[in-house]
This record gives sequence, structure tokens and C-alpha cells, in this order.
Amino acid sequence: MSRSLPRLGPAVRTAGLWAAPLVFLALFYALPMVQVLRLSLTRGGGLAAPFVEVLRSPLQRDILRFTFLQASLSTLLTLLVGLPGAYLLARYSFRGRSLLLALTSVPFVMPTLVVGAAFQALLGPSGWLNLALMELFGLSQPPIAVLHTLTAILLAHVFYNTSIVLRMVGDFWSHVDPRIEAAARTLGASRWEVLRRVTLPLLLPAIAAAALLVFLFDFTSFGVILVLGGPRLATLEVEIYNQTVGLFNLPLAAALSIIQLTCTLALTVAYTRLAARVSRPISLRPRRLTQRPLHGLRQRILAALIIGLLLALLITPLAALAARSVASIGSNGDQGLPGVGGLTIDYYRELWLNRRESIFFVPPSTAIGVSLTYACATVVLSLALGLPAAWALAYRPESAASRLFDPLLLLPLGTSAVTLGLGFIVGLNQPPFDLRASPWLVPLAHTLVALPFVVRSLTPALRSIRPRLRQAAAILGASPRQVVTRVDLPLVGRALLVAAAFAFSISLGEFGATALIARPEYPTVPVMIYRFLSQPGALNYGQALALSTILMVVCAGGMLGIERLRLADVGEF
Amino acid sequence: MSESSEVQRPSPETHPDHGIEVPCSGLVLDGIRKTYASSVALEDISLCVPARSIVAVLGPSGSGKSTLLSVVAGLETPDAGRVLWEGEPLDGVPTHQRNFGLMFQDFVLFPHLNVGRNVAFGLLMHRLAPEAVTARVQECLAQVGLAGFERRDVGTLSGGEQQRVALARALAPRPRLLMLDEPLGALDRTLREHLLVEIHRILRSTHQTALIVTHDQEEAFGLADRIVILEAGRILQEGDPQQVYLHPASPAVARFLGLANLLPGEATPGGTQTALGLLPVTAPHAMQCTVLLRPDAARLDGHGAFAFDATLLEITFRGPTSILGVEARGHRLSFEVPSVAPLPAVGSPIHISLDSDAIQILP
Repeated sequence: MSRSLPRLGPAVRTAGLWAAPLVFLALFYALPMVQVLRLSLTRGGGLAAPFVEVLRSPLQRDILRFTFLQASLSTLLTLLVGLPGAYLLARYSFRGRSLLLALTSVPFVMPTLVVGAAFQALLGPSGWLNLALMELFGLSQPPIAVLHTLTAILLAHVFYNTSIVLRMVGDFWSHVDPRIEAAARTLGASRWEVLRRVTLPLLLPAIAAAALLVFLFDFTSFGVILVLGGPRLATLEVEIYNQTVGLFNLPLAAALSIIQLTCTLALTVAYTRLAARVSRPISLRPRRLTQRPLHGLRQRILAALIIGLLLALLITPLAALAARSVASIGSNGDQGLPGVGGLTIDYYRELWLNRRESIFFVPPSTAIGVSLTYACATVVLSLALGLPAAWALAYRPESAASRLFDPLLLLPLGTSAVTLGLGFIVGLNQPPFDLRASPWLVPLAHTLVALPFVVRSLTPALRSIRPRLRQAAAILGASPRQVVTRVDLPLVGRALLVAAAFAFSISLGEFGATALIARPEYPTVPVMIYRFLSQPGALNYGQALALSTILMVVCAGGMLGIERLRLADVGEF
Repeated sequence: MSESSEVQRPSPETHPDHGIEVPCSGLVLDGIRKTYASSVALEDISLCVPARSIVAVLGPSGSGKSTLLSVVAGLETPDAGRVLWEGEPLDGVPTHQRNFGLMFQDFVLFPHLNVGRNVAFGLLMHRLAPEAVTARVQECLAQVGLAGFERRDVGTLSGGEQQRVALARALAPRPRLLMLDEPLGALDRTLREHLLVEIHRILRSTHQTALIVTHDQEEAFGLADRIVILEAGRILQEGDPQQVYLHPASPAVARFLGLANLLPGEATPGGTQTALGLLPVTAPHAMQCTVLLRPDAARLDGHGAFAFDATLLEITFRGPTSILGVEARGHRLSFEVPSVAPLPAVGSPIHISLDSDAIQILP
């Protein structure tokens, strides 16, 4: 056990660690959510009226069903695509492994709107695939019409979340002793039996954790469905947004939010129960003992296939987006075949021009500045709150506080961002917190979204520091404070960096809550992109793609930079 | 069965040089070679494990022992050479069809299965009926002294208990060959001595053909009929334990067995000249050699075939015996003597004599 905070009783210490995160959650999560609940309950016609209305309406029932359907299918597909990749990354060392890992994590930090735009640029009526097919076969109509279908949504969700499976399952897998599998082989188990009876059961906690996270993301997906789903396909999240912004039906939006929250809460509780039951103490082994080079033709072909699939799914949409943002394409369609007109930087130049002399014009440099400011504030805030919580979870996992608050921390993750935004609008507009007009609202919301990620990345790293190391440092004369600065921080430095990167990129790309609470004169980049996307015309579309590309480059650059830092870090265990 | 009768076991059908030329009924390795990107792990290894016998491969860490087991188990493919069982080459036979058991160094129990399920694993793979599985699991757990442990979680077991479960798991499917990788390496001393006797009893009573790799000579001597000394991927010597210990074939083997009193010398038909003087051991013709003074055969009573004066530098008390560190003519030597013997003070001269069979010529 940690002895780095002496003289206080363990219970007091744990409570002290939890204080700041809990106050934050109470003020900026519980309070707004209670307001949402009250709003949904205080409508005329009794307490249950909005719920009855939602469940009675065939339209809302369809939305509920579709939300579950697409999330389940997306999760399944994501696992199917991700698990072979996780295997490859976990068990083999090969040239370009780190690059592959870095490339595949780029989609995860992409803002949802950028993903939507990227898939439009690849699969839309005037996307690359259709352009190529029309050119090839002389067609006058785009042959592929996946836009505004379930397929497009599934593809985008797989694109988005595969890296979660690669990371969570792959990382765990890479530390599982391969001799456990060898032991099964010597006892007469065929490869298939080893997979079924040993490997998969051992990986189950990691797979379940990844699947739950993926499901939650897909269940509350917003930007992707707003852009790719079209007017007919809506999830709960999109419907909440439409009811709030389009129809000003706040009570119905609140009722939908409560239903969504109930679902995600149930899932989270089920997950925590499952995790407690299936996880085993597995002695993890350093990667150099578990990985081997690719050997023989069969393994090489398998590796090539997996890498090919990953790159095709994860990289082509982004490449399509970047290429589309610099291609001038006659997309009006009335002149016959649209065709590629050549390279252009017009869309980028137009970003800085205020052609209509609109008073709402905001130069993109401002939006980028606003986004970066919010992102930095989010990093500081979420680390300051997440570190003590992770500390408590890592070293006092059995304390009542930790067991109670652990699932609470996940709650904001299960709460839709749009609901959070709605909560901020209805909950923080009266004393003592009249923050409605404050630009601080945005980083506060972003911190709520980022906090679960920060805590989840820090806790395992803190837990991996064996108490013996601290004792050794203390015996060598390190004071409790020095133990923290000389042992803990250097060892979790990498995890801190990863947590910071998560917070940063989540803030840069967050759209659901920001769409509701951002002030018009301080739009973030995703808000600007959506403004362009929702206006007609090739120029607006081109500008949306150009701005998306800028955001993509910023996010990808940050992510790859982090990967490089991680590579330079030697201490694996 | 008393322990002394086990130690006096009959020698198996030994052959003076490599046992390969005679037909061998059990496991045969024929010219195995395995290289990794950076180094040679095994170089032309040929050896035989006759059915119902126990062979120990003894070597320092990094000598290629574990690679050898991986090759036999089929977890690694050799670059050259063949593994044969009863004359049948096993090339291309996958691990799970070899029916060779392997007990891993630190046990590697399945963390997601309880004790009973761990032991049952191999039986289920061999499609045994459920009642037969239950019976065999009971039998094997009783054999290793863990009757009734079926439902225990493997995470709650002590080191010794894990070791027993690992042994039961490996024995349960009645493997044709059982391989043990440093079987007692992860345990503390008292437990080691206890389990050594027990493993020996179990392997003997089931007539299990076994191949052990270890760096610990006590383990190898205590378990095996036959010892193979491996260093840097090559076999240096093989023979029964007494033979190897009493007649190391080379200075390298002697050094590895802890017989470190080695002096350069020149052997002739009239005696062997060394820094200590003319030793009463001879060679048919003159040659450069290394002389081994067995550390366990020193006498302090003045009797013996050869005596010399030395300075006593240190005494390490080891219980029944003490280790004397001495210096004689610029050579550091050490001898093990009974602790009851009266010893001079550290720093004073000491007169050491040796019987003639305590002095050996190594090529």
C-alpha cells in the first residue's frame, strides 16, 4: 500500500483524493442532469407524460430501435476488424509496427464531423469512389448510394473505433505470456482449441471492456450520424439535438436524454459486474518476451492481409478527404458528368474571405485559436481532476469510496454530449452558476467528456508501479514527496502524456455539446465545419472539407507526435 | 521405498560414447541445429532418452536448454536435424499431436481455470469421457499430494502447490515423454529438497520417460539416470551422474560442476609437473594438460599420496562441512572439509594432503 501520504488514516486519505473530482462532478454533471430530469418531469400531464409520449410514438420507438441496432452491429463489426489486428500487433514484432500503431490511432482522435466529411468525400454521390466508377464505366449517375444508409454509418463507426480494440485488446494481449498457449498445445490442444479455451477466455476482460466502450460511443454517436445518416436516419442523440435546436421541445429532449442515460447506465453497471467476474490475476510479461518476428510465408501473408484491411478501412477515408479538399470538381451535376478539374487551393483561400460581408463571419484563424485555447484549458482541468481520482482507484481499489465512485466516473462517458449541452443550458443559467454566457462553459463540458479517458489511462499505469519500488526508494532515503516526484511521476509520465493527448484531441473534436453551448462569436473548428456543411453549394462544401482537413492535420500531427514520444520512452514495465 | 535404494538405481543401457548409434527405443535427437537471428542456440545436438529412463540436460543459463525442449515439443522448428520417437520422425507433427508433456519453469498454470480444470485440460483435449476425466484428475491430484484441491483458484496457491498442480497437469494425459524445464528452479531450498524426492518417486512409480533441463546439478543428479552436459549449444559430456561427477571430461565440465581447483601442468609417464610440484598421476606419453584437485577429497591428517603447504586465507562455515580458501604457489584453491576437523587460524600455514584418486588429469 502507498505510504506516500503519511499520518492520515487511509479512509481520510481516500476521501481527500476524491474530493475535487466529486465536487466537480456534482456541480457540472449532477446539477445539470437533475435540471434535465426536472424539466422532463414537470411538463403537464403527470410525471411520466414525456416517457409515455416517447414510448407511444412509433417514430420515437423506431429511433430507439435504430439506435440499438446500429450500435450493436457497429460493435460487432469493429471487433471483427479489430481483433485480428490486435493479434498481429500483440504477438509479432515487425518493421513498421510502431508506424502502423500510430496510423491506426489517427482515426480515433478525428472529430466526428471530420469523419462524416471524410466518408462523404469517399463514398458520397460526388465522392472519389463514385467518380472513379462513373469515369470507368461511363455512367451518368453515381452507382453507389450508401450515403444516408446504415452501411455508411457502420463503416464510419468501424473506422472510428477500431483503434480502441487495437489498443485495449492488443495492449493486454501483448503482455499475456505466450507460454500459457504453449502449455495448452503440449497438453494436446489444437490451434483452434487454444483460441477457444485459453486465449479468448484470457482476453475476455479486455475484449468486454473494449466492446462496451465501442458500444457506448456508437450508442451516443452524433456527428457521424448527423452528416452520414441524412434526414431519415436518426439516433436518440440526433433526435435530442433536433428537438432542442430545431423544435425547441426541451421537455421531450429531456425525456429522451433520460431514456438514453438509463440505457448507458445499465450497460455500465453490467460491464462493471462482468469485469469483476471475469478478470483474473494474470502475471503480465514484458513485451520483449511475448513478441517474435514474422516467420515464414504464411505468417507474412496473414500480416499483409491484416495490415491491408486496416489501412484500407482506416486511412483511405482520410486520404480521400485531404485529396477532395484540394480538387476542384464540378459537382452541380447539371452539366452532365462531374469530373475532376484539377488541383486547387481555392477552398482554403475562401476560408479567409468574407464574400457576403456577413456580420457572422469569423475567420478560421479565430476558430482555430478558440479551439486550441479550449483544448489547453481542458487538458489542465481534466488532469488536475483525473490524477487524484486515478490515484485513489489505483491504490485503494477496495475502499468503499473507490468502489462507489469508479462507475460514477464513467457516467459522463455514457451521457450523450448533446444531453450534457442541454443540461448546461437548462442547469447553469441561474444563480449561483449563471454561466450561460461564459466562454468557460465549453471547456467545462469538454472536461466532463475527457475525464473518463484521463482516469482510465492513468489508473493502470499507476497500478503498475509495484509498492516495492516505493519502499525501495524510501529505504534509500526518499521522502514521501520525493517518492512521488522521483518514482511515480517518471513512471507514469508516459501515461500522463497519453491522458493529456486524449483530453486535447477530445476537446478539439467535440461537437455534440459544443454545438449547443458555443457562443456564436467564439465558434470552435467543428462548429465552423458544420456551418459550412449545412449550407448549400460546392463552395461551402469545399470549405467544409478544407477546414476538416486542417483539423485532421492538427489532430493527426498531435497524435503522431505523442506516438514518437512514446517510442522514445524505454521503460516498458 | 527408502531413499538410499533409489540412489543405488541400476544404470540404464549406457553406451560409452553417444547413445545414438545403438537403436534407441524412446526419444532420439539427431543432429539438431537451431539458430536465432543473433546467435546459435543449438549446434548439432544428438542424444537419446530411452523409454522409461530419465535424462537430465545440465547447463548454465543461456546454454540452449529451453530451446532444446521447445524443439522436442514442436513449439520451435529446428533448422537442421530430426526429432524421432521410437524411430518415427516427428517432422511436421504439430505440438498437440505429439503427446509430449511439458512442465514449464514457472509453472504457467491457466489463470482462468481452477485447479481441477487445469489438470483436466489435457484430458479434455484427448476427448476423455467426463467421468474418466474426474477420476483421473482425482488420481493425479492425490499423486502429487493435493487431493481435494479441485475447486481451488490457482491464484491462491503457494509456490510449492502451483508446482504440484503443474506436475499433475503434465502427468494427467499420460504423456509418452514428460519434459521438465528447471522443475524446482522457482522454489525455496527446503521445498526443493522435499519436492525433489517426491518428483523422483512419482516419475519412478509411473515409469515415466522424462527429459529434464536444469542448471542445478543437485536437481539433475537427484532425478536423472543419465546426465548430458550442455554449454553454448553443444554437448560436452554425457554419462550417468556418478560417472560425470567423478570423471569430468574437460576443464569446462569440471568448472561447471563446481570443481574449480584446476592447474595447468605437463603429464608424463613418470608423473605430472605443476606449480605445486610433481603430482603422482601419469599419462602414457607427455602432454600439456589441466590437473583437477578434487575439493571434496582433501585431508588435513598428513596421510595421502601427495601433500603440499599452503596459506589459509578464509574459512566459510557451511554446517556439516567448511570451505577452506587457501593459496599455494600463487594459486587460489578451495577444499571442503568436515567442520569437526581442528583448523588453524586464518592467515597461518596449513598442510594439505590428497589421495591419489583425488587428483585427475583432464585433457
